[in-house]
Amino acid sequence: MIPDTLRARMGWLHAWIGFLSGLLLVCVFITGTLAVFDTELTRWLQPEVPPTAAELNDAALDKMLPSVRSLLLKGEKPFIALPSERDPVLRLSYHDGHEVLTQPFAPQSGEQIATRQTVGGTFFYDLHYTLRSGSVGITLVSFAGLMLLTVLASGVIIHLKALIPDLLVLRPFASRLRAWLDVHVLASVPFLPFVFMMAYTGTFLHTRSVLPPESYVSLAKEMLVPSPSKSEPASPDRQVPQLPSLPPLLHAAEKTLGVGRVGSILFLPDTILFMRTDASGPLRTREHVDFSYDSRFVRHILLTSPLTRAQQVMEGIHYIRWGGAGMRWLYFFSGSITTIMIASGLILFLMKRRKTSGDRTLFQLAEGLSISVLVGLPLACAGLLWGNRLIPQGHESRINAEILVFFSIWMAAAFFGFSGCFIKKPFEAWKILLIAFSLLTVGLGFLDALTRPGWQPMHAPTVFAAVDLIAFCMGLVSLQIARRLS
Amino acid sequence: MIFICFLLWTVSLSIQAASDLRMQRISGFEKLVLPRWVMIFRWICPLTGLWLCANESLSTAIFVWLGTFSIAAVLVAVGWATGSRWKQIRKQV
Repeated sequence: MIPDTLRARMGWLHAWIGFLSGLLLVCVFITGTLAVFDTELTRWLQPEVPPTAAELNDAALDKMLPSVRSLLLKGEKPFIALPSERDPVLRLSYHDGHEVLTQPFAPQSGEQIATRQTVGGTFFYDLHYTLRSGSVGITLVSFAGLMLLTVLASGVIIHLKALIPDLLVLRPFASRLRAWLDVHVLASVPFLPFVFMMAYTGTFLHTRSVLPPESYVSLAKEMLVPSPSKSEPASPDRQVPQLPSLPPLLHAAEKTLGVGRVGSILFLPDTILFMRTDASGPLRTREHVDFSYDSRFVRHILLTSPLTRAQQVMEGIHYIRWGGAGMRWLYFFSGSITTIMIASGLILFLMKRRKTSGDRTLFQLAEGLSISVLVGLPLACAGLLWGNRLIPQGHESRINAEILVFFSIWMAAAFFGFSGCFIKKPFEAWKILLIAFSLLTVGLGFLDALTRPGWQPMHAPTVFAAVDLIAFCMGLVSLQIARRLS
Repeated sequence: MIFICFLLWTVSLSIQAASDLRMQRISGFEKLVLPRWVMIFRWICPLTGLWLCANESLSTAIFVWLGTFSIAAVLVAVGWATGSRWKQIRKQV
């Protein structure tokens, strides 16, 4: 009989809420960790774009105007991303409802760089916070964030006495349960500041989903009844005014925002917005200077109320677009280890119940779900990178093909995982999928070498080398886990 | 700065692990005795790291300081586990 203490109650809460929300949180953290480097991943997914480029030439901006115009004619809201430390080329982009699709342009000449179409790194960003399901997905992810805060608080209460003594304890060669528990604690306790911060800021960003201004009933109705599309329908006789020369407007905007602080130029139907770059400071102000299509200054928008300031700080902390490459790496490693924390929690939940409930259908279902998210999703992410390089460049709907590859692999892995669990061979399912993931990630560097134009064995560290190396290391870790499963 | 702060945390946490009786028992380094003056670096190193981070950029200082602590903790724990395993294997041989 388990004594009815606060610790025991918190243990129950930690296990059950942790498992149920953990299945979703793993997806949120894997994709969020990848989204830290969304710009760099887009560069990896468009290998034809050179890793370095000359400085921006004013004339190049005006050379892009015909392409901007053609997107405006299609009813899109295009924007030009100016070259930055993270991406040396000009990019003409638009949001297709899920991802930001981009076409790169040379910053010196303004010529379009011929490259493959891709979903880009923002695919992971969209998956991270909407699960590709719009407001329904945002609400789910926000509630998962609240659950995470609950699970963290209960975890701290359970482990309060041993929080400091167990900080550095790791016994990988002890019994399997002990080893996974050590991994779980080691991946949790030192990263508590990071996880609390990400869960809190992430939930705060979408407070309206958790505490909507209208009733939950009307929100649920809105979710169930599809609303008419908000994007403007394409019409052949759409009128787009003559686009003005951009450099004079850019320099005028820089007088307000600061030289080098304009990150993008957004084209709306009646105004052109010069937006402050998110890299310019900890507050994600989204400050902008607006001009009309006949080059007249319209307004300068900077929201400074206490509430918007709080929102800007939270967004700045969550997105970390201002901290430089070092900070992004810190977020990436912290995000990876937090994923390990949640993954090890799911595994511990299953391990503790395997003896008593291993034959139950519910247990098999839980293990199938765990396999689908813990191995299936990473496998699908690696598959997307392979698909990007293997789908022919001239494929008619390349972007959809990449998305199809991603979801097909994920579905296949989930099917395989569930089948393995229902025929009572779960370890084989884990093992085979882990080995498949290892093969894809270890082989990614070779694929990159074979399919990237201008590949050289020795070159300065670039996004390509970083992606290949990280994938290689993940492959080795996955292989080691598969090996120890036997 | 991130690298220096990470190194300082690694030194501090390594001293902490080496001086902790439970960690010594787990790893089999029971006879390890650190001189008293070394102990002071458990505190000096993180505080120096915080001062260096704040000196470089106040807005990123706390993020870098805490982030490097977390990653250094994992590295020291993995290093300590590897060391104890190596000692075990040597004993068996």
